[in-house]
Amino acid sequence: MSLPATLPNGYLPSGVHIAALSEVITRFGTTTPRRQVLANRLQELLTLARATVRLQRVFVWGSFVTDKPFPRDLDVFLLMQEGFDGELIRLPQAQRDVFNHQRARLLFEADVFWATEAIGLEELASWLGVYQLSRDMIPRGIVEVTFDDRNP
Amino acid sequence: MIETPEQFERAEEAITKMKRFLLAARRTHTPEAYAALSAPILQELQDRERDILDYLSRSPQVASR
Repeated sequence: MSLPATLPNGYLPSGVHIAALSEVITRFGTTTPRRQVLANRLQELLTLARATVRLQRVFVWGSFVTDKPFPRDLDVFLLMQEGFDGELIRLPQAQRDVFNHQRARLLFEADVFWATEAIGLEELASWLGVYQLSRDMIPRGIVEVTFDDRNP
Repeated sequence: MIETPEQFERAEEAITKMKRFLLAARRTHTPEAYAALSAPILQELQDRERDILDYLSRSPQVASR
């Protein structure tokens, strides 16, 4: 297991923690019925995002990756291959829903943030820095999700 | 909730970073994609700016209680 224990404040320690999806699900998606529901939603949305074959990296933060027994929703960032933005309109509806904020909230109980690699590494790092602070400005860790088959 | 000047500074920095991300995304993504990807960020910006206005609306005495 590569994910560290949560701190007394319920958050992961600061930093970006890399973990396989299976580990994320085992750790955060099993202990309560609410967590099981959100874990299923996460797997559904990631299956659809991966089906585009343009998914490069995945980050998860927010209440799901804390020790709260009843997380409100999922917060996810999907980094897509450069050029994906031009393909968005041609995706099957089920895949396109992942990248539509309102549809994603409705279907997956998730705030899905996304961009393509064209955004640049510097902006990506800056963005990830924003989410390593809670809305109460408390430092917290976020999770980069990898896949067991190593193929995004 | 923002309670201290340090938290206020961090919140302002976070908002600046989010706006910079949006500006970069506007330059590098198609209009359709930008419309989709900016929606949750704009919502988050609005929420965070509300937190800042809430902090600024309280006097230091009230904020430190």
